[in-house]
Amino acid sequence: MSFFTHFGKYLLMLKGMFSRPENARLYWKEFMHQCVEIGVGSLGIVSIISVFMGAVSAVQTAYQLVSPLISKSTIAQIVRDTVILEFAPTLVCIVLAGVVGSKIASELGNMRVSEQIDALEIMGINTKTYLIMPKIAAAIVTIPMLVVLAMVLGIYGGRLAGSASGILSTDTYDRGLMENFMPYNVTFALIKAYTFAFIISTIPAYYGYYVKGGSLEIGRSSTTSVVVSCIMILLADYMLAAILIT
Amino acid sequence: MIEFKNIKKSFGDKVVLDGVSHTMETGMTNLIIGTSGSGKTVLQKCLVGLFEPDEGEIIYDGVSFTVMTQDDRKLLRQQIGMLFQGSALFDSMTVEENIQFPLDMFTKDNHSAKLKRVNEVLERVNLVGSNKKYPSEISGGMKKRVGIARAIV
Repeated sequence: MSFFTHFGKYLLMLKGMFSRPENARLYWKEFMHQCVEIGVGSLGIVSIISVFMGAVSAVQTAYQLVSPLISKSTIAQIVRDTVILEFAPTLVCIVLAGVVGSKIASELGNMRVSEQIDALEIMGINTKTYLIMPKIAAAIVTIPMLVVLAMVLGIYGGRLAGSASGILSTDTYDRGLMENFMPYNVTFALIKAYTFAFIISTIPAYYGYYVKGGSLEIGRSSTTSVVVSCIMILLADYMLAAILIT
Repeated sequence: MIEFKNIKKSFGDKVVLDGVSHTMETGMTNLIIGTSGSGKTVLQKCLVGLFEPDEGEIIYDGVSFTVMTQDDRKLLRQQIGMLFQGSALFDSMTVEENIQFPLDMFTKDNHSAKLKRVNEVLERVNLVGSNKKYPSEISGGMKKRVGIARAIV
């Protein structure tokens, strides 16, 4: 299938999601379940990645800042801005594209192949609204929260690594964090987070929902969805940077 | 009454249904029999809208299925029960939750009333006591019976 066929089918899938829920209580229950799966389920991996991401940033920035004319508090500024602008939204969302995206694609793919989606359709349930919409809503709610957590833990990881390796004291680090801080960076990071959350949930949902075949095809659709999601995240990252901060 | 006229359906070059027509009268039990791969399931899925026929018309009580809106199709489907070849049970739910699902979705009954109905249909399909089992823990025959129970609940 050509790119335009896929894109058209993807847009039709998104359009088909908007219908009145058959039972608001069940839809809310499904939404909350997805919030737990996507949000709480990714807490561990996001926390670990963020702390190490900040720690490595601090150590490598210190390695590159060899001039004695540059204050050590600059390390904290660089770690802060790198984590907020790029590592927290982009790197964490690329990891989530693998974790959450593959889960969504394989769950929907398995339901398609075992005719569970057909069974829901026969009952008179709009499966795009019941199965896909809660996942997208849950991703848009929880992923920006995970990105904010990643920012905090990343900056803290830098502080931890800086003091543990003797690169700079915690006081110097804290002073550096407050120097030349631009609140717009956080806004920009959150715009990226919401955009990436939409990508991470909709693209795997498309590949899983329309899978045809057996377990091999489910695996393929899961892998393809992660690859396509990652590429779209990087493309969106560049476009948002070009539009919003240049 | 369900009428289907000149239903044709192909998948690529393979023609599965080639001009099938019939009328199913209200209140009658109709049987579709055929050899393996002859298109029985494809016809059934065309009748309920899971497949769109390439040609032909399907009419429910005088109303053509193809001109029905999505909302009308949804209302019609709520009157249809279908048992799938693989049972199509929701594998993350127990037997009780599977059967109760249509009641949860479409009725405002309280939990006791729904549970009573679930136990009634479980008794009808001879699966009393299997409420808390998951589809992976029951046999193929039992899955089929759970599927029947969900279709008739």
